[in-house]
Amino acid sequence: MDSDIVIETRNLTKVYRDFWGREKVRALKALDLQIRRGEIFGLLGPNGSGKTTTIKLILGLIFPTSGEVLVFGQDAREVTKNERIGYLPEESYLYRFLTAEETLDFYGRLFNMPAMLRRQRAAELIEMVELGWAKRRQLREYSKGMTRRIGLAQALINDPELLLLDEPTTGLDPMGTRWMKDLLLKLRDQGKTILMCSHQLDDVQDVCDRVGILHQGELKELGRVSDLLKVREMTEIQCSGLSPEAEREVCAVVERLGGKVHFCGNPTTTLEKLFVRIIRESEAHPGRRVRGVLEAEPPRTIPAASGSQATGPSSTGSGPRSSSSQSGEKPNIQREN
Amino acid sequence: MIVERYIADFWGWLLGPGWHDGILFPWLLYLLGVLVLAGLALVVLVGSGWVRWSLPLTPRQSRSLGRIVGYGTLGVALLVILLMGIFLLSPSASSSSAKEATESSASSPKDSAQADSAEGVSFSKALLRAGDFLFGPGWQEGTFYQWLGMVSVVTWGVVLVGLLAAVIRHGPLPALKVVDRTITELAEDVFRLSPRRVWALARLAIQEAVRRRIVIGFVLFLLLMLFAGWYLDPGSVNPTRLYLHFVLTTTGYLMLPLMLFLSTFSLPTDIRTKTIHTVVTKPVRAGEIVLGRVLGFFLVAAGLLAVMGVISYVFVIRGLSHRHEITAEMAAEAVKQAQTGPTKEFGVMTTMVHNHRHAILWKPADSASSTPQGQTPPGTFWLAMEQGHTHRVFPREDGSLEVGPPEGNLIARVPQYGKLQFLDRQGRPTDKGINVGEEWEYRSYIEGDTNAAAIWTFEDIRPERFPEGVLVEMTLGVFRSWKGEIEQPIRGSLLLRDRTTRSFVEVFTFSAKEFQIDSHWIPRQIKGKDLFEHFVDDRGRLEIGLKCLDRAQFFGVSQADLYLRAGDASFVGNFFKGYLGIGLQVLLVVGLGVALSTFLSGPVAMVATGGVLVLGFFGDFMYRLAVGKTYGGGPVESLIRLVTQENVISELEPSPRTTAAKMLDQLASGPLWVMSKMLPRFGDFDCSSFVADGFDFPAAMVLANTANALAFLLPVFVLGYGFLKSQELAQ
Repeated sequence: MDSDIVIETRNLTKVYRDFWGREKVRALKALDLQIRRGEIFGLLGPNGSGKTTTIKLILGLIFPTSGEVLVFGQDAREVTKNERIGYLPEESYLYRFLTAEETLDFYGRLFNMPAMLRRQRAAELIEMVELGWAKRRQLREYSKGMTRRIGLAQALINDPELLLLDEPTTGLDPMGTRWMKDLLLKLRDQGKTILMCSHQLDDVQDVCDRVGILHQGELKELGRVSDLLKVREMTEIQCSGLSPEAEREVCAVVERLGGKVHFCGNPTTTLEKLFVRIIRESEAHPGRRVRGVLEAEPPRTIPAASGSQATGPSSTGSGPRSSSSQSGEKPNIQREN
Repeated sequence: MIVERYIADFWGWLLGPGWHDGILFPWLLYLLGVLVLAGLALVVLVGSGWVRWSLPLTPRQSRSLGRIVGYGTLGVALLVILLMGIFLLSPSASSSSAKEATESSASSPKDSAQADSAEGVSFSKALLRAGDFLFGPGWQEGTFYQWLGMVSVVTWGVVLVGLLAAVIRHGPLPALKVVDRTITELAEDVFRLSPRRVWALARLAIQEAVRRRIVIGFVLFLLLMLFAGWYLDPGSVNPTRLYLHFVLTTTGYLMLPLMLFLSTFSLPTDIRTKTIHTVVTKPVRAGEIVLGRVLGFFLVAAGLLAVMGVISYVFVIRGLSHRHEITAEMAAEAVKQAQTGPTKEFGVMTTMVHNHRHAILWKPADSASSTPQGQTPPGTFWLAMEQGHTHRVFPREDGSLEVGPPEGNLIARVPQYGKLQFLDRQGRPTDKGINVGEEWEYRSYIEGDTNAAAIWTFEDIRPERFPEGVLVEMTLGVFRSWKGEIEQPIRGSLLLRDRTTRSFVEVFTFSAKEFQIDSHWIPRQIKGKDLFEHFVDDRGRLEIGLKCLDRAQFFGVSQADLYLRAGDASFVGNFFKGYLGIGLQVLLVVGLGVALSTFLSGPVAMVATGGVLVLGFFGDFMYRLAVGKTYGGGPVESLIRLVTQENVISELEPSPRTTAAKMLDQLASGPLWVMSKMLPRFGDFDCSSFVADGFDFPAAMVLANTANALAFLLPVFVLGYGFLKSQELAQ
């Protein structure tokens, strides 16, 4: 097996049966998948499409009906593979009678970590998930977002090579979501492999290198996000510093060259980015009203060339982007009539 | 010829007349037993974290080792089954095995314990006795081998059933692969147990118990203790027994359901709330989860038992504590009576507290007599025993006496039992006395004012052990054939056999105290003769005789009714043993509860464990039912008797119905026998009656009980492990 392949499923099938052994549902049908070291892989699909089943099979929480799952080249039921894995379940299933510190200490012990290392690692992680102020409170008093953060901390207690995240941004506020996405990208940059499944398509788009789309237990699409989302018949130019006259001239040039201008004007940002910007501004300058795009003049548009048809919304996302390194604006490719 | 004879002798020595009668076979089995026990101890030690040890093995090496150990164990189990099968089928063994089959295994520890007491207690002896219990005086009688046989059969049964299920589900070849993997992984996991992980899970169980429900049990116990004082009568005949029995029983009855509840709901709750997902996705083995839970809950129970033990002890001491008053006039009267003889019918008594008074006694300066408590210096006061206790008295300056707290009630006697024989009314030796018509044949009776006597022979009576004399304690049954003097107790006399003349010498006469322990001191000098020179023979044997002095009245005695008090063990130690017994019961319940909860939901696991607990308490009855030793037949036959209102003694009329009932009972007896042998006898772990009655619980029985509990826990642990391992936890 290629040492770069962290997870491999071969013809993986899972059939859930009732007490009498009768087939209840065929949750996964002959899934072939390879996840490589150092990538963030997103599993997408509607409810009941087999995403969580796949993750559970990889973790050895359930057993395949046929086919096999190899994690680090070992059978998924092999316990030793767990030493290199971190898992954040869909809801953070943690012991609610433990405090954050006790939780991390407990999971650290399960990795056979010596006391000194456990304490050090727990302190680092509590600081990383920004829960230092609540580390001595029992988890039953935690909000959903806080539970999610401590859930992620327990998944990272062993500094895993492979992270399996089931709906990582569920229950997080926009700030938390941004924090989580930044963290995932940071972890990817540290060389960790991440497999996540999510309903939040924006999140997947923002962080994943590759995605697989499951529907009714079958893999319908697989590939790099940048490739899958590329709109090949469109060209996008992003520039700044153009006067309205210059913009009109650019449009004229495009049309003279046989192209069709669908939109020309100021792009709009996403609500998430706006929210994050306002909160950060507010934290930086408490008590001052944030002046931003809300008070800016409405986006200017210039009429598109006659005869052009509305092409409907599409994306010009150019592959995985580090949201922290982005300018923050997303071009609006929308024709105005 | 000589060489041939030597070879034949050698084979005879090695293999015996039947091949398994020689030295080799029992020796091999003994070795096997020791190896299995050592392995078991290793697993427990490493698993519980007492020994920090793990093998530095690569996954491939540990897999290979697992395969060797897994198949090795199966091979040993098969060998045991074959050997036992051959032994049971061979004609020379059938007689002894039949004898073995009719004996309840539960009787073994008791017998050995009694024998142990007869020889006095030392740890090495206790260990030997426990060894006898495990490996038997003849190897095939040892409980350990019965256990090994049972476990081997069950192991192979499980393997074959598992193989069958796998074949049905996956087909023949993949089934073999599945079974091979299971066997290998099972054995491999033993080597990869991490004490730190086990302890982490144990700690989790403790934290869970402490932060969730355990407080309720504790509050209940405190409430019971608070209100129990209202209902327990310290003025009853034997208040010590009442109090001790109450605290031990209450603790047991409270702890068992509490731990049953905790242990059976813990894992199912984790599975239901899916918290188990974050645990099993760590490098945790199923065995560690089961072991961790069992250990954690047992430690919770141990902690609770320790606290309850201390509270109970204080409760008993406070409940029994009382003081009597003795005025200067009472003291003066007691001295006067001692010098001039009694002027009042019952002598001079203390004030009445807790429904009793003590006679105030004074020992004149010239008196040579002794009290039951040993030598009392002349010219001092003491109080007679009442309700199993006495008090120390100290003279005050004004002539009155200060009375100390009760003494002698919280004790742990170490009795030395003798061997009982009888003399009939003509004075001829006989095995039994008279049956006065009681159904319970425990006691045999001797007739008063005849030559009939009961004679106990005690071994190992040496001056080093009894330097000042011998304390004899007895509990006699009295049977009156006529009313007699209603206020006069029946009189008896205690005799010693002279070692040279072989005749009996009367030491003292006494009035029989029914339903309580009567203590008498036999001093070193008896009528001018030294006890050891004239009454104890060269081999250290002492014969004590007992006679009834009243015509047509009877004393009922059994072997254990008269014993020498060889010394007293620590009462606190004995009290601890009482709690240890409860601890072992709790350990079994916790082990079983956790194991069953790996595949059953909480309520079902609780009912199942509770069922085993109840059946375990009736294990002895189940055994007697299985071997047909109960009155009224088996379940179906007794149901017929119940419906038709037949008594349990008379034979049912021969009819097809009766035949069918007996056949059904016969069919049921097999499973009943197996169940009675497999289920733990919870009652055997209970030593509260020893503690409450003031007898030391022998160390051999503690060892035997511990071995019993561990023997039961091992297959239970494997059961829980197997189910947890083979289960899809996220389905």
